[in-house]
Amino acid sequence: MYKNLAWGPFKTFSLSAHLVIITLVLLCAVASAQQPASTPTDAETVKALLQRMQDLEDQVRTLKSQVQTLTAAAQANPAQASPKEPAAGDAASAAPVTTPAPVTTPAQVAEEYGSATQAHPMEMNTPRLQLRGFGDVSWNAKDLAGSTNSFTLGQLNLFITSRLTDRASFLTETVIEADSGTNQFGIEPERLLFLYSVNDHLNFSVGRYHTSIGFYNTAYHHSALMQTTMKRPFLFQFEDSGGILPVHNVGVSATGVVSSKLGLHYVAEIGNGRSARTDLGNNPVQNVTDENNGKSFNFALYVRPPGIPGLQFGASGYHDHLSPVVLVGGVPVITPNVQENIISGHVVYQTNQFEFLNEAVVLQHAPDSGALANNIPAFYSQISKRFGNYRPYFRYEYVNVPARDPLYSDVALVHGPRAGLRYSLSESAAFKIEFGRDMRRNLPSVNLIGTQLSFAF
Amino acid sequence: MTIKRTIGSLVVLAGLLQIGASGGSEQIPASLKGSQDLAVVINPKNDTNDLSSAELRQILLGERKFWKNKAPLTIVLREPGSREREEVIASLRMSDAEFGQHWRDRVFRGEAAAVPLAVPSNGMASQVVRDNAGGVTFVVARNLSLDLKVVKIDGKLPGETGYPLK
Repeated sequence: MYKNLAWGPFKTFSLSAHLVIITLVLLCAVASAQQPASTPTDAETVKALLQRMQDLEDQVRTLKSQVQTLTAAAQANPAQASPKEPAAGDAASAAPVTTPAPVTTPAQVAEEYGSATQAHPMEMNTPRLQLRGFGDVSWNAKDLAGSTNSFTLGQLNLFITSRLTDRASFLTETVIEADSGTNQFGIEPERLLFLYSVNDHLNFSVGRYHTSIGFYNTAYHHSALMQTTMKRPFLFQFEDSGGILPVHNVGVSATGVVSSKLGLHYVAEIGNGRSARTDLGNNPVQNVTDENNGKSFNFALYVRPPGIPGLQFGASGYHDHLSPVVLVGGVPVITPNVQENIISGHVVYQTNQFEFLNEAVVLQHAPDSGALANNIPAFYSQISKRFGNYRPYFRYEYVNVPARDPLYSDVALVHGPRAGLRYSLSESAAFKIEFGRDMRRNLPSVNLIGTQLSFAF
Repeated sequence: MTIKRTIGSLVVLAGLLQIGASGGSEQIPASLKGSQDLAVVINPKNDTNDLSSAELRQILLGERKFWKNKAPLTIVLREPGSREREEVIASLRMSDAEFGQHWRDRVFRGEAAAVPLAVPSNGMASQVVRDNAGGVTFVVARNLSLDLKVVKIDGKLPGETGYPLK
């Protein structure tokens, strides 16, 4: 009874009272929470939140449509939807050649809908191979007696990079190319590098690289598409095409920033150097065995002033010993070593619209026998301007090898102009037409005409 | 039971409102709220507070690859066509095609391991920066995540007069 009289009415009252008290407490809590924000910015905050809600709703709609697309794709091709797992023992070997899987994981979604060349953020620390190819096909003719006009397959370049960690990466350029004399194809890793960045001031690379002599050799590699003209300046021609510089080298390279305010950079390289041009037909790039114990050294400094985007100027010095071998009556005979010293300087200004490249090199060969040293001066100057998809260009180049030079006397004096027009079909393809004239010492001049289609894939 | 559930929901709602109100007012400066400017956003563990316009340009062009605390830089941009990407690249006086070509050239020369990461949403960009000590991305100030750090450019935050990434 006591319980009924006393507890019954109290119970009823208590429930209502509780609700009222709790509601009041909550309202106070909410009110106190909102109090600091009850300023004139309330309207802006609400507006911002509404806008953000709208953005998120848009994103949800996009994601839903992507999920529907993926689901449809998976249903359309159920064979790919359930790839067989490789046996444990075969895991390593099977990994690179798996059947294409449906796009279902976040990584795959990012790959499909983000960037075609980028890893998903969650995979950033996983090595990921990226492949890009370059190729070109040309037609060339010249009025040199005995020469024929020909369609020419250029270099097929498979450029591969892989980001191994946030500091280490791998790079290789493997080129498949036909020999102009035999028409036979050959394959060669033109660059093969393991790169490691310690900081902005110290980056190492080990392997086969393009020697940092001047500008052109490290700015342009084995892709006709990347360069304005049809061919490289003769000064920077590749060794197996008659070039006189050690364009490629195998060794170790260190690069970095000396002063970011000035834009001053350095490059220091030590490698095998190139072999002397001999009658033995050896590869001029010493990939495996150096012909002597002396190593090549190269040091370059260049400036990219932050205040003048596109401007770069610099200089480099290179030193090596070459050991020429000549055939005397079919028998190889070692001749005295030759010191090779190369000094170069360059000033280039290059923007998307305009380029003006100027480089000069003096290559010195000094026989250890004490014979007189020979200096080989060379330079080129190239200018071009872009008008929409068209880019007319002009280059003048000069190489003068003295007749008594122990290594490259066959090159002699070659100089002359190149003029042409590059038409960009897209970001990945360009058509070029070029005219040139080679003037030579004690030989008739040669006129050249060529066209080229270069592309990336 | 229904009453108890209602009360429970109200309590939770009140708690959320309290947390949301206090958290927001503490972490996002008033000038950023509602600002349309692009904020330069980095990982909170990064001790960088200020960058000059020149330093930002060097970062975006890949000429600077490390933060002062030695962490390797990871640039995260939105995919082509997004406002954030267009404005960041426009600040370099480049088109998206020119920016892409610049980075492809760098990769080709061995000066960079990869082109900057491009992701389809601000959420994903923020997540990458959250996961990478050296991450940096660009987000419209009003869409900022509370747990990321905004860097001043030339001593100014988004929304302030003279801020360069408008």
